[in-house]
Amino acid sequence: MSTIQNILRNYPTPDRSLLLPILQEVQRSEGYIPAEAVVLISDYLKIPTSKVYSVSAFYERFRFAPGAKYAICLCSGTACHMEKSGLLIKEFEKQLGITTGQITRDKLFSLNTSPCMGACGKAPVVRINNEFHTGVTIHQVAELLNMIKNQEEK
Amino acid sequence: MEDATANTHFLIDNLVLNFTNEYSDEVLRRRELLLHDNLRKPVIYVGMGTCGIAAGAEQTLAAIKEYLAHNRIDAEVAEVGCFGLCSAEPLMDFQMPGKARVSFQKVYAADVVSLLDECFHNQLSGSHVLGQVRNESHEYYHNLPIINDLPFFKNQKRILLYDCGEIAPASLDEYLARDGYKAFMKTILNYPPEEVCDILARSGLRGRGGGGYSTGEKWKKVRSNAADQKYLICNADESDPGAYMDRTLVEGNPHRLLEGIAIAAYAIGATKAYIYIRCDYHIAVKRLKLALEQAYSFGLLGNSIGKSGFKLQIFLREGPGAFVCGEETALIKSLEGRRGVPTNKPPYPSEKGLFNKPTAINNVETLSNVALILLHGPEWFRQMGTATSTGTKLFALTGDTLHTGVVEVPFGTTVHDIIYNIGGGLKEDKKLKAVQIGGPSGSLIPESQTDITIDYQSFGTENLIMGSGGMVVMDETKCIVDIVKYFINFLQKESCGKCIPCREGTNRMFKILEAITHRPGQDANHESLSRFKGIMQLESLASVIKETSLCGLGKTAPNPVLTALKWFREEFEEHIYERRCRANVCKDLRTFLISAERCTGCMVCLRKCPEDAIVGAALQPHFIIQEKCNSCGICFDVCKFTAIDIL
Ligand SMILES: Cc1cc2nc3c(=O)[nH]c(=O)nc-3n(C[C@H](O)[C@H](O)[C@H](O)COP(=O)(O)O)c2cc1C
Ligand code: SF4
Ligand code: SF4
Ligand code: FES
Repeated sequence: MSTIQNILRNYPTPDRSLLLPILQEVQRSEGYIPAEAVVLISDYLKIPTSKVYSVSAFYERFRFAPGAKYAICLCSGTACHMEKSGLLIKEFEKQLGITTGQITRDKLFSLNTSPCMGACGKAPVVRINNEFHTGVTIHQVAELLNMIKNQEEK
Repeated sequence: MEDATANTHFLIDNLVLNFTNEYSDEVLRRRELLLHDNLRKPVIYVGMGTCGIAAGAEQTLAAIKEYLAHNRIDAEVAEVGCFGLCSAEPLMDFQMPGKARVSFQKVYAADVVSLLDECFHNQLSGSHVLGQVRNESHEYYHNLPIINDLPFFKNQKRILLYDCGEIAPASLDEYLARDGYKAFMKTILNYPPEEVCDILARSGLRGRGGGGYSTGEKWKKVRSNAADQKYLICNADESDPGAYMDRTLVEGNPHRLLEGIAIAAYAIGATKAYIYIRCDYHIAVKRLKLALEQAYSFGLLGNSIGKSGFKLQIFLREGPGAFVCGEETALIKSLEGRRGVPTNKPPYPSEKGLFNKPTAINNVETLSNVALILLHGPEWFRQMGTATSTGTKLFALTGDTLHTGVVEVPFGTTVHDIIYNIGGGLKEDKKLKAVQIGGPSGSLIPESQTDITIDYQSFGTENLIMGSGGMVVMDETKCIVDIVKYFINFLQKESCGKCIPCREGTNRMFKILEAITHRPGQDANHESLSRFKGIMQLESLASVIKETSLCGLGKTAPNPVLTALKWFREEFEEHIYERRCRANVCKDLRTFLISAERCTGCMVCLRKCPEDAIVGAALQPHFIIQEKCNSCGICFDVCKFTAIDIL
């Protein structure tokens, strides 16, 4: 738990406007916002826990449960949409057996969308953790997933 | 070699703070080096913007470093931003001392060895070459085109993008060598703040974030409201799904933005400024952090700037990705640590903004213009563009043009010119169908209207919204209903939910559009009629949402629908009455049938069908089980015998 307290120590003067930066730092370090963190932050900034929750829930990016080992992120920008990223999402959902925003039971994969990733010329774009895959076709979905699964088995 | 900080101090004392335009030989020598006019060793530049990295620039960079180490070559590797031609990434430039800088496109890691061999042995074969950069002090390679003469660059007016892709964003020295921070220093040492507001007003600069309000006038308002503390906010939220001009500017030249913020803060009398940048812009955030550190450590920001007595702190805040937080009052709420929900105006931020203090909010592109205006004067700025819309505008050109990326044109350019003269026309010479300008709250323009000039006045007369600068080009294979549905879906998800017409109305619009793009149900009775009623409702719904929503999101949300209905009504009607999508995009409307005559039974489609909906034996005609088919169209694409029909 001391990591959260350490993070709070980086913000010597408690002030409500620091709520989002603190939440972001917690998520960066923990991968999500643990319930304990909400309590500690609320104590520190003197705002009710309900408010901390309500603010953090407003912003889609905050997660309240741990993330997956491989975060699959599809570009939902305009260029990728026109290159049929919608079909690609469906294929990922089918292969993984989850819907967008969810995480697989084995905690290996999560599926999300993100706004334009900046490679519109090579749409559609998929990012898995920090690796970009461009011009992805429906057939490649299974390949990509199998590659990762094989890696994991080793 | 003297140490690096000494060089920066030298440049600040002798270049930045020297307003005479007469420099000693030593200053000129150092500047030449930094401008890469005069090299001591070869330089290899790699475009490391988001677009470059997505295309594989990191691997290219690693391969270059390995090549240099392996061959024991002493060369400088410079990581630069993107110069706008995103479709050519990964980009690598090469420059030998005394020779012109050559740009290479689509340089993947596997291409590095042979390309650098060619470069270092002075035997360019011309492969991957984009062109050489014009610089009369350099020796040109013969038979390579000059990059500045390529239509993509020649037809632009690049004042903000000028340095992007040239300058190393991590190098303060390179920015200083390009008269960086000179405008800021000159301003705080010579001009009273009112005069700065005046200069800006005279330049005619208008906000590039969408509203188009005069920047000088906005600053004057904030100045005139007395308070013990005022704030400047730089809006770098940029969450329109097809726009990335601000990102390109920040990644390419972060100091230019910081200088603009500093001048703006001085003009309005703020000692604290915030940059609200969307959290997905990792590279831009990293570059801004570094640039801030540099500026503080050399006294360009902080407690006593250049002995002028002016103080300024700039805080960097990452916006957790919500479109509505780009709206100024929502952004303020978000900075205060609250839910990003817009509030009523008045009071305007210029009266009661951040922490209830007078606040000026400006967009990245707006602020990036500021230093240039003070450096070259408002008259210089007024020369560009039209009488009421001065200067240039950046657009993120995406979609079906040959070249895509960020382009900069003076106001008064036509949409047609951008697509054909800069974007190189459409891919495969397809026919242009429509252009979407301004993202989710913007307008659809049909091919016949593309001769409209881009400026606030003509957009105003035509009732169009310029938005921030997304420009999506669509050829005939794109479906208007689909693109409208895409934007409305985006808006219904991003509505903050405060106003019921916006929250529920956009959702209703989305449902109506879903209904007309879905597979017809079984009950044929009056179904078309009720679907058509949907279209009638779209129009009345749109006017309610427009009139009763609080913030710009809701007020402009119906725009894509309304402009699409205005120009492409027949396409909506086709979807409804004929259940046909002429572009074959609304896949749920399609039925695929295999022609028993033409099918050779090659089994290709059977293997590729993701739903296992195709049955058949080798050399026998195949058959699609419609209940299983999800209309993805893969079989249609893979059949080499055109045996599949679309109904
Ligand atoms: C829904 C919505 C989203 C907006 N998003 C942005 C944005 O991402 N970036 C931006 O600069 N302005 C955005 N704006 C406009 C801002 O409210 C504001 O007008 C602008 O930042 C003012 O700066 P300017 O005068 O330099 O244009 C948005 C407005 C609305 C209604
Ligand atoms: S118009 Fe929409 S986004 Fe704007 S305040 Fe109302 S509900 Fe929120
Ligand atoms: S790919 Fe074409 S020819 Fe081959 S089995 Fe399918 S429909 Fe018949
Ligand atoms: S829209 Fe997907 S990378 Fe730009």
